[in-house]
Amino acid sequence: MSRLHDCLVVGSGISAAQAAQTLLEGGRRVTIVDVGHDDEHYRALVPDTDFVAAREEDEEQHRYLLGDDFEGVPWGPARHTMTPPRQYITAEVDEWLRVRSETFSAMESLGYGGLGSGWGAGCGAYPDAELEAMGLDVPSIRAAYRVAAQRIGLAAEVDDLSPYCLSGLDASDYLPPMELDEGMAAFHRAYQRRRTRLRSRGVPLARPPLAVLTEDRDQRRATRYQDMEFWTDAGNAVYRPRVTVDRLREHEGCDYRPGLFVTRFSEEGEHVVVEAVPTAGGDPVRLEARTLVLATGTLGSARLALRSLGGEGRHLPILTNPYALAPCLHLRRLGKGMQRNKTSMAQLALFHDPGFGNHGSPIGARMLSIYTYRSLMLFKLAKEAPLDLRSASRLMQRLAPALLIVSLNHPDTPSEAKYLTLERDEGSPTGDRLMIEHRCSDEEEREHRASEKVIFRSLRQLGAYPLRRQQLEAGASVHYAGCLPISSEAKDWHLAPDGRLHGTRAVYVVDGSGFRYLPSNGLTFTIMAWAHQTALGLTGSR
Amino acid sequence: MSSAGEQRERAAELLARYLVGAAADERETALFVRACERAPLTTDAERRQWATLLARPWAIGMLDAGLAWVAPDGALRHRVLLMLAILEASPRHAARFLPGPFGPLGCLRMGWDTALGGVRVVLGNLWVRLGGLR
Repeated sequence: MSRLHDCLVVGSGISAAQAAQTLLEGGRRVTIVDVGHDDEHYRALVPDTDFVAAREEDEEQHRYLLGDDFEGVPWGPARHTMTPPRQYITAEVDEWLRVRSETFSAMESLGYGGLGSGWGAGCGAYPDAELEAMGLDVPSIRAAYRVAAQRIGLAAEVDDLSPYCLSGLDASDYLPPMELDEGMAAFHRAYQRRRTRLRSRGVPLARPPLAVLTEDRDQRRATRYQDMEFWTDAGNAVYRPRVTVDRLREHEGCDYRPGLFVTRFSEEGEHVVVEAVPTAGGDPVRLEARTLVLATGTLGSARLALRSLGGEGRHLPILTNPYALAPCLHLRRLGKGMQRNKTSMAQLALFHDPGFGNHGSPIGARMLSIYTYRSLMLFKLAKEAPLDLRSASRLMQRLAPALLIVSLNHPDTPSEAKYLTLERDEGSPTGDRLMIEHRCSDEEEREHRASEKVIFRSLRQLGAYPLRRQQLEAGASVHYAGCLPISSEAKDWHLAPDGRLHGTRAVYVVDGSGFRYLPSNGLTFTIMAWAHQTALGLTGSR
Repeated sequence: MSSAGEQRERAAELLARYLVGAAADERETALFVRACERAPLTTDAERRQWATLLARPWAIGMLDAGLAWVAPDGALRHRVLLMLAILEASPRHAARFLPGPFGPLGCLRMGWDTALGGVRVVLGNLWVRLGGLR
């Protein structure tokens, strides 16, 4: 007879970590089932020093900067790629989590800590209107935001972005903000000089809240601005789910079961039965639990639900932020140096709120994250230039201090042209794969273009000239939501407001699957709040 | 005809001189020889481009610039990029790749480099398209 688990949490990412912590704190026993690939190869090679020192002194730098198989030298069309020390995040995904699509580029993880291990750390506590549009209970999520902020450490301040990013939080919830490097500080000063005019156009700019420690806390160190965030988590200044999961594993009520890939679930009487396959080979495993908590990411939860509940061929909605990149030249920085100590994370964010001043609703607001560029290496920039690589690398070396890399996210709403479905794939270990279709309507495209016009004009007024705009494929933002929308009606393929999957007795979904609207400002912080809120309900404390 | 390994060693030498104006050291050469496995020559055109690179080192810049337009995803351009990455990740070339301040002379140099890059693009395009290299 198999052991009966209390709560089975599937996954170890952002939502799993928050849900598991809340469940354990509420007295439940938790078994975390995870594939849990980890980097055993590069971590020890990356020195605990700043990027410039590593470049000037480390003879072995090519091993982690380029990868032992040169997997860190991207080729083909520009897209998001992981640095070699981060590539464990997506290891074996092509085999186990198959996707077919002409229009959608999916990124999923079987790694320890999930996609959160490569997260940009941007946090947004959404305003009420956005939470309501997502189908979330505003007071509960507000309370959950505060819990999440305390757990992860949030660097923020009250500024022009607060209405979009810090709603409901107060100074006791966050740490001092990150420092800006010289280039960003100059850009921010340019904004301050034009603030009134830009704000009247619905274009505020400020430092985004980031899940980065600016003061030591517990075992984590404050950021030392080493510009190494894409290469190492030394000191854990940037919050990663593994920080939480590592600690939970020491709890006597927590059992971590790595190396298991969950294929399906079913309910038998009072219990949930989970079938899993050892990824290293071997016989399938059957686990029984009182409660199942799916924290496998939106695409993972959709896949499991469709497979387990007989949904083959059924269409489920999918949301993702339409996403573009635009390198910009900040001309005033030309010829200036780049300060040694800086962060690789986004230092400023700019919103365009088309409804600003009219109806007062932030629905439809666009968000830009602004980065300076150094630690991802010049050769990646040179590759994109239509020049010989010698001229391109020399040009980029001189332009780098004046380069601002802007990533632009648009919000997303459901439509019939945005869906996924499970189809047969005999070559897959699970016998199936997701087929995803995501097309914006002409009207949406027009709105995106109109908003981008305002944004690029604002950037030019601040002295940053967009060099090119590169539209990435749908899904490239790695923000996914909405496959199992929250509904108070008991409808199949929907979640109840408490996170339970309708049609099941004890299967809960704590990732972004339930969100009916996807704001432009990254959803990770709200996933944490939702996971906490759902888990709190399972402890009977809510 | 030299072996593939010898050709790659020779190419490492030529590409390092082209990209940073200095010979590749032993480690950079060894890394490049291994990196070429990531960018195999799969078409006749790519083999011709490779032979041209080895035979006419003075024209690597034009060849590279022409291929940036005509075959940006081809193996030869991939190999040049791999060498650039190897050189960038070498501490002895750090100063050449890390961004630093520069004055009016640096601005002129940047303009000159860009203009020269433009000339290479024009000539390289013509050469690659008309010279049977695509």
